[in-house]
Amino acid sequence: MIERIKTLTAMQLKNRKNRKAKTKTSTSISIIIQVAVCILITVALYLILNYLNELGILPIDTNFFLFLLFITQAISIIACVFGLANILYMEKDNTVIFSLPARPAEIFISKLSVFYITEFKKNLFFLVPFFIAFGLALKLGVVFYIFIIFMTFLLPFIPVFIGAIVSLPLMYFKKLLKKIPILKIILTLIIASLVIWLLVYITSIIPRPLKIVAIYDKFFAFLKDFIISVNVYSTIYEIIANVMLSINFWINLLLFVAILVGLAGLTIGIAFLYFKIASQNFENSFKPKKSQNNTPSKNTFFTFIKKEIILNLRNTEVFISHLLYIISLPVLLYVINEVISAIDTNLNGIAIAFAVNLLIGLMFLTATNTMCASAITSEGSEFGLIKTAPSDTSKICYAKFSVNFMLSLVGIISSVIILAFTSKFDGLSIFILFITFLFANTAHMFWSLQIDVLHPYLTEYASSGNIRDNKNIGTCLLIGLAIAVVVAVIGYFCFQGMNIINMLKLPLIAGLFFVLRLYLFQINLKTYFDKIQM
Amino acid sequence: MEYLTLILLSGIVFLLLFLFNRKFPEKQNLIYRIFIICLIAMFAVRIIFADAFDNIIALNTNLFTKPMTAFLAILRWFSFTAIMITCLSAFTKAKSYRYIVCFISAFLWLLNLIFFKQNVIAFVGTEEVSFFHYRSILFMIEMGLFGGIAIYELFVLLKNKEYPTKKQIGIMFLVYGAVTISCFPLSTFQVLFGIFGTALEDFNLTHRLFLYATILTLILLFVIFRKKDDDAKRTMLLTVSTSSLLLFCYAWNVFTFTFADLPLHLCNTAIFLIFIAFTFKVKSVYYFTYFVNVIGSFFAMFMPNTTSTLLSYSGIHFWFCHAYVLILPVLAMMLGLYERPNFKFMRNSIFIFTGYFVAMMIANAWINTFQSVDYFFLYGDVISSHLGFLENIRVNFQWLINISGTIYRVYWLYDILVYIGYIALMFLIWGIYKLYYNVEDHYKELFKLRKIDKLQIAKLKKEIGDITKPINPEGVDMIKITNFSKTYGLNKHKAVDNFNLEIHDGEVFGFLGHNGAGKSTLIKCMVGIQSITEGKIEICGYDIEKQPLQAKLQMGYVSDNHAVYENLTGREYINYVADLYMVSKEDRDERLDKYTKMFQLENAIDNQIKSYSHGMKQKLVVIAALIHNPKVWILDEPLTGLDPSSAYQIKECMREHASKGNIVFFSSHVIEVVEKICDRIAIIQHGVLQGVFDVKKLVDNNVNLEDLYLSFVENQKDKDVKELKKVQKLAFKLQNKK
Repeated sequence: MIERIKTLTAMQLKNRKNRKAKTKTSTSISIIIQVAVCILITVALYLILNYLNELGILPIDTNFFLFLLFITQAISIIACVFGLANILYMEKDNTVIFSLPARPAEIFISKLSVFYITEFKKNLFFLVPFFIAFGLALKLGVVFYIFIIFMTFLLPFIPVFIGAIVSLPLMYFKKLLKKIPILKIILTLIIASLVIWLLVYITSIIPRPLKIVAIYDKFFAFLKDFIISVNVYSTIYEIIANVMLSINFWINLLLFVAILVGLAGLTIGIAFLYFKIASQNFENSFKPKKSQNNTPSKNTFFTFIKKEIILNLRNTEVFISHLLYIISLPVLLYVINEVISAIDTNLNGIAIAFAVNLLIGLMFLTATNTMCASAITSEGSEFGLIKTAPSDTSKICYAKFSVNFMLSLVGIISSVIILAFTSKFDGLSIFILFITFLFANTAHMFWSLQIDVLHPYLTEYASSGNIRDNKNIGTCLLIGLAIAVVVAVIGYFCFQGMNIINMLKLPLIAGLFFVLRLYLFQINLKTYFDKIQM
Repeated sequence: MEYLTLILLSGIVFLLLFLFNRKFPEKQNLIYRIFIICLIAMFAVRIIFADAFDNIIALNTNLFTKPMTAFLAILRWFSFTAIMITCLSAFTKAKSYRYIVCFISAFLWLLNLIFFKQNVIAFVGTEEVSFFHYRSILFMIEMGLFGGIAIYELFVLLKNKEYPTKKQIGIMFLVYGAVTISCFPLSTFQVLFGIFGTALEDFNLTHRLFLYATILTLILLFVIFRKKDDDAKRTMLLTVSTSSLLLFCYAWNVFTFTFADLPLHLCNTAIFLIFIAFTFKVKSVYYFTYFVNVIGSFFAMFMPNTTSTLLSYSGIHFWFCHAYVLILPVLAMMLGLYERPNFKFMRNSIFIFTGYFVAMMIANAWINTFQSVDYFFLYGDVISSHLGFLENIRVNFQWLINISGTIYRVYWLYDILVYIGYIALMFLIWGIYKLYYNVEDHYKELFKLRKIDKLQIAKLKKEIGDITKPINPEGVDMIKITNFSKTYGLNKHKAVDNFNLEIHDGEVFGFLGHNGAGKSTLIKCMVGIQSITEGKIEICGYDIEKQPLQAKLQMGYVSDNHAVYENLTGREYINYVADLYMVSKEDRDERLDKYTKMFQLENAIDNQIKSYSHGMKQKLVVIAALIHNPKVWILDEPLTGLDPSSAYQIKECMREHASKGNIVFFSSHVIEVVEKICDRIAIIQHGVLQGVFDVKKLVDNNVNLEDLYLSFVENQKDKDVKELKKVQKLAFKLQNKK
């Protein structure tokens, strides 16, 4: 049994690994870089903690340690629940793995092992630097550092076990939503409305004028109380913190072991139900549709557009994410501007407010351009048809771009309308914001599309059925972030002093950037689209 | 008196050059270089003395009239350039430099001779200058050398009748003009126009102008020199690095020289290092400047630590020198004069930097005991004023060393942090460089490919006129594969090797081979999914590579993975394919109706494909492939996983399609199927075509197709190899029989 679990785990890990052959040198360099990053994170965290300690407004003590540990692990648990729900029940390789001569419980454990390894790696980059930085900041003894080693291995078990346990009812719920798609949309809208209401409520209670310096002490007193009140709910992590800080060591250690064993037991219990739920996902029920007509499209572009719209509308998850996107951006900008408008600002303050709007808006807009960054990849095996078709199939890129663009445009226009009513900016500033959003975001779309045209992961998508591990998406997000930061900085400089000529430089720069990206995309598309191989 | 002496000195230099070159004609270069080195020495001596003329602001002086001051400022600038080019002419083959020496240097020598006295007054700042004043004597020797060399070169040129063409004269003036800008003496602007502009701070207009000018200069030099030969590129870099060195040293005054003037700041050191790297071609020094100095100058330029006005004496010194340090290493790499750095170069740079860093820590600790210096900002608060948290570290972590009562101070933790930060920045800039290399390589490749594509289209147009017509009119009713080979990526192994085949209309052609034999590779190349490494594939006379659209229009393809958009309905999918193949409404209605009935999909065609079984999906893909009634129908393992009735329907469809004069080409593992429906078969093993056989002939002569297939497959343990070989021999014999 153990051997089979080992084999299954190794097989899945190998499949997830980068397919590119790595040399010894590149591996060594990569390890050196990773260690360097860990050290840098540790130093940075230490400096931040030290700085906060020096300020004396927020004591860096065991309470704060427990609070941060709890918050980070809570995030980790949420990520594990959703991640495991996908990996355990939805992954395309399930069809292959279930056919292998292994018990479903063994498959379940192997999948958990793979997820545990991923979590463990993540912890190396955050949890370990965090622990070390805290140890240094609190000047803790050697015992604490010894426990860091143990906790690095043991701590990821908790989110993984909880994730495995919670993912089961979550899957039942998901199945229910899958059966009744409208329920999913209604639920999403209700949640979105509640969030919006909450945000609007919070912004409405902001005192006007908001004097940050005046509420400085109040805020930190509130924060201290908040930390203590949150820590009340962090029983498990309080035990872990106590173990690490050697407070009532033996009792807490016993409790910690009991919790781990308990969670492991429950997880093993779930393992026996695993196959029942996971196998149901391969089964499709269908509703016969009414007879349709054959309707030719006017040209290839419309053919692709039609296909994209149908596929997007029929995929509830995609549809909901688009819906959320359209709602979220204006709400987000509304909240930001409500906070800003509560503060008395001078001309420099307006420039900062403008830059913040640009930064947040573009970060959000560019993050949704992943649709473009996976335009070709998401065709998977179907791209074979595109390759064999006797027409200019490169138009598929523009079709995918158009869908993404339309969504962005709706988001931008609604944001601009909201800003026009709620922000302190004048008409010209709002117009500049609109044009800049439009140019910079569209340029980023072309850039993201270009990335996917140059390196589509067709085979990987065809075998896994998801774009989760797609490098192009990571690159797209990174470029989006860089664009948002650069545009915000330029925007800040252009809006200093509110000189109209200076202000107009921003859309001009964004326009030039757009033209450049459009040109580069065009030549890349013309040269490399036909050379994409499967 | 001065004029006569100067003419005499120039004459002596001319005569010496003439005599030495006549005596040792094979050592002309060496002789020329010796004289040039003498000139360099005299020029260097002049540079380290301060000139009174440089203190003039906006032509206001009692020494000369305003026009004379303006004229002298320009003469000094132009002469500065001419002397530098004369010095460099010994170390470069550039013809334009030689012409500058012959014509411009000779002319400027003449002007300096005429205005010799004014020049000396400009040096010392008084009208009463004796003939024996050291500046007068030094200038006389310098001009004597300069004039002698220039006139001798002019003499040689005239003697050998090597007159420049009009174009060469034009280039000469262009080069001289460009170099004149690059060695803009620090004082000229101030002397002519006064102090101009505002200080470099906070990205103000002056600062921005300075940054734009730097970036534009880099781009301009790259654009101008990217297509020149390496000699021209090296000459340019040598000239500019020399200019930067001269401009840097011009600010020195030998009489007031202090430790603070030593070029030990990173960017100041760089001025010397860049010059050494380009002059003596020292690679390790170059890579040091490329990794280390570029970062330093970048920060210096973006956060200028000076309050000097842009176009003042010290302002020009600051920005010219830093701009050169930023531009030159990057430009040398962009122009391809140095190979791209690997870890070895980075490692060496870190070693050199470490040595420099430790030396600066010691120098700061030592020199600050008697004079205030702050080399590489390791002693003062320049860096910590930008990064506030460092100030506490700087002040609180000091190492005080008491040697014989003198306290040497080292800010050890602060220095270590700066060191680590700088190394991190070096790695960061390496990352940025790598990013740039990737982009550069990508666009070089892209433009090359575009050029090739354009040439191919032009060639095709020239060959056949209308590219929509078949390239091979005789092959309109067949598939023709000629010398086809395919390799994947950089892999040397050929997946298919030198494959030749012809398939004619009306044929059902079977393609047999073991797993990985190369069947799918060939099919994917035929339908245009993959590129062709060697050879040619023609579909109905159209070349799939050169005329892909026309060739694809002739084909219908059923892939081995029946990939379809699962969220579309069957009808939507067929319409999607029909749109891609531009099928009219009438045709698609008729054909869809026919095939849905044939494959019994009438009730499922309007359901989403995700509800289909494997067989239904395969049938749908078959309908999609036939919706435009292709001349050539290609199927990759079409019967895998199908139930007998579905397989039967597809086989019937294949026969029917061929019977209408079309070609059906399919790959399969099922020998019985191949035997039943194929007219001819091809067997491929390890990418090599083993043979093409007529199925009827084989069946008529009782050749078992399975045995024939197995005879090509290695390691058939259960079969008698000799028997199999006999079958193979017979099959080939039958094939050759008409």
